Amino acid sequence: MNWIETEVTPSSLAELSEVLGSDGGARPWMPKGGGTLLGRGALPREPVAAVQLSRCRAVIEHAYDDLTVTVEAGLPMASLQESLSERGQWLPLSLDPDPESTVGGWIGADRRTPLAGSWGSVRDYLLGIAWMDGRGHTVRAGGRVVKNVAGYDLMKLFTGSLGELGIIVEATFKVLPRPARWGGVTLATPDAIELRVALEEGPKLFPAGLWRFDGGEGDTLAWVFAGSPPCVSAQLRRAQALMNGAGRILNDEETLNLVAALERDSRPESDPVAWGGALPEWLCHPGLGAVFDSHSWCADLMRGHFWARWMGNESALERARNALRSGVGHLHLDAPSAHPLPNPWGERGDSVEILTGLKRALDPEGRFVEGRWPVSR
Amino acid sequence: MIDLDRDLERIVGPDGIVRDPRLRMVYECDGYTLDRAVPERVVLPRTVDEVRNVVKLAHHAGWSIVPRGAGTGLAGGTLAAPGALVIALTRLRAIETLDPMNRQALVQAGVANLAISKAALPYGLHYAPDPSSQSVSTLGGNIAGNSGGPHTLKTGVTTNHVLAVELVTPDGNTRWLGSRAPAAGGPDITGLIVGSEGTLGLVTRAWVRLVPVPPATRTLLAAFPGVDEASRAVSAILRSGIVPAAVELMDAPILEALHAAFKLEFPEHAGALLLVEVDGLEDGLDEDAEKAVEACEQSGAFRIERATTDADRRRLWMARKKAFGALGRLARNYCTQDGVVPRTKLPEMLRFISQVGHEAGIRVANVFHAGDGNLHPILLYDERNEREVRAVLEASARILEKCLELGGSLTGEHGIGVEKLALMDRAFSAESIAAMDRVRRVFDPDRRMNSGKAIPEGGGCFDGRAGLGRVRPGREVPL
Repeated sequence: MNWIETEVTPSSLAELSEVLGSDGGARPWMPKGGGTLLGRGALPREPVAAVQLSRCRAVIEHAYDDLTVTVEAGLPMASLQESLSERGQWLPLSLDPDPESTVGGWIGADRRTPLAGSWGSVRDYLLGIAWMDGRGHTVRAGGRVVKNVAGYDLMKLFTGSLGELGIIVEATFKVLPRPARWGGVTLATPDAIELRVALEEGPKLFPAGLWRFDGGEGDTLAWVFAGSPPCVSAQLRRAQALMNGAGRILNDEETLNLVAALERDSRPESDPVAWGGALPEWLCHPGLGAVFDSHSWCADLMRGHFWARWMGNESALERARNALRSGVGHLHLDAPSAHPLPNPWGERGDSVEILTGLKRALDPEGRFVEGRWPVSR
Repeated sequence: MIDLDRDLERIVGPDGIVRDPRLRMVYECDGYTLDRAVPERVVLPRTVDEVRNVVKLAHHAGWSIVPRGAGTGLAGGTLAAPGALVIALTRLRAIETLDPMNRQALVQAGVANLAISKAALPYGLHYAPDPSSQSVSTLGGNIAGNSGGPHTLKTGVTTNHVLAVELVTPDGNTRWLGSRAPAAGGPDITGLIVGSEGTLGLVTRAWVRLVPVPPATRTLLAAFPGVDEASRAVSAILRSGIVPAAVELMDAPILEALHAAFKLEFPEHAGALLLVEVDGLEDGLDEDAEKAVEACEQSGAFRIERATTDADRRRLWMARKKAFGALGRLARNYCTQDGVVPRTKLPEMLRFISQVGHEAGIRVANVFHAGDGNLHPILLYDERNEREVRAVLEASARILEKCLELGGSLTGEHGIGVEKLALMDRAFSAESIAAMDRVRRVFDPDRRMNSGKAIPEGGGCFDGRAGLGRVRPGREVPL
């Protein structure tokens, strides 16, 4: 099935509104973002008409003294980071975003990178949102200030909505000062005791990342720090001391390269990517690589995210999911191509009725794509 | 014939129902005292099962439900609608699991915020959101309000620290939303529940995230000639590239009250104080503190005191912590507002607040989370004086409308409650309110959960008198 039947690229949000308002509804709409993560989520129930917002990419307001930025959703994440960096700021979601990926796509796909362990994910930075509903009306939630509890936090619902609730057209984020220095320590083939020390003591050093990964050279433990030079130097010393002086110190550039490499490996390219979460303690399991059946994986020991290049078959997938259950975990698959898998989510969630209700509440006319979420097919 | 009140007693036991009208007066309001209504029924369940059964009974009886924690809210979020059943969750006070390895805790809704941090402290961990009421305010209440606090500038508010919630839906069913493990996929429903002011169901338990206690802090108190200079310093501090743990501002009326109540001494000619704290590892912290000092000095601070010991730190914080307690020296009653503006608009907003107070003929004091742009103008009045009550209501509305005009919000951490409901249509379009209302109906089609709060009913066709029949923010007053 050619699941994307047609595609429109409006030149402005006014044009998008017109298109949505006048459409007869032959095919459900689906925002496409930059098209870099179209393999996330289940194959929709029926072919869709994709909406590409690449021409709606303005930085509406960078209130740098307020540490907030408001942008149109079609702005590439890389362009946003570049714009923020001119003022010494960043959105700590990514160091090396895919050049094509858009802000709207990051929200809709709830895209996470290994930085999410320490810095949080897009939900933690999204202050306000505007979306277009099925009639082409602009609807808003949240605002442009860093603290705001007026009205429901509908930004959270759009995080991971995969285009089912409407088309995100604008987003406001809080941003942070860019760290002055990066540094890291790596330890090859950590044993069970070293992993436990990292798990127990690592967070107390306030790392920018605490990962266990295999990039093709075997099981490795990595601590990454970001901040002021004296603080990072002290963190590196302490981390190395916790590993009895055995770790290898990475300089600024090596650290940034490591983070960027782990981030790139979390994207599906030629192989699918298995991603999800488990308790951090469970991710210190000695045979973690065997669970993922992979020689390219990364586990975040701060919050419990993981990513793995997936080369296994269906039974390996079932085994991995069964194993993860003991760590209250879950595993999903991102397809490598723009063609989603029929069921990438594994178990159906236990919020089916609520999710179905929310879909009807925000898309009452059923004008947007359906069937992409982890609910019963 | 079914006796519903007897059934209620069968569920919670005779001591789980508050019958005495004088005792029920305890539940007539929360920290927002301009509106009061003595509830007809109040129950105090001890277990999640009891909560579920009470809600089921209410569902069959058609009673509306008002969830309540410790009653420290400041927007009338626990005000009882006529005929409503108040379910106070303060007896659900167990920390069921503390998992230091994964830095998580399973906590019942009635546990006081600070108790979570105290339980986690032996492991070097704490629960980061720290509302000023944290010694008594409950986790359930904090979740309903998405509470913040002085230190949330750096660490985030409640929604950043809640992983999963157990929700009793209005029909009395229970379900877990969210996950202890991240990245469960699909829309983030837990994030919707946090901050929904009890309108989508009752949260009975939650998995929360614990974070390491920062091992070192630097606290400083900067004195400025006035609020203009102090509020300009807030932007200067953030521009310096540091992310402080807290930036709190106190103005001259607050300092006057603190001196009158507790004999606290402040630098002569201080028109405002800024309390700034940075935290983290010891190394590099002095450099961060010096950046804050420099920003304060460049903005006009004429004296800066640094804490060098824990005792010093406690002393510097004392003024901030005791500020609300001191207000009784200035007036019989006070109403605390909760607007937010972009931080760069603080000087303009504070000038406006002063002007509004002057025009309304009431005193206004300010003590607030300046680092977040989250204002807490405190309007002083005497509730026996109708003119003053009316003036407070009108001044509150003007202040909140100005926050919106400057690109801010009606509320940073107290919630909409009943107090600000009439202003929601200034903050959001009819389409936006209608979308929120439809989301509400997914959980509560009959609108029995904390009705008349948070979201105007009727999907944008708001008449300003929905639910509890209030006019403007605040009490119904004779016109």
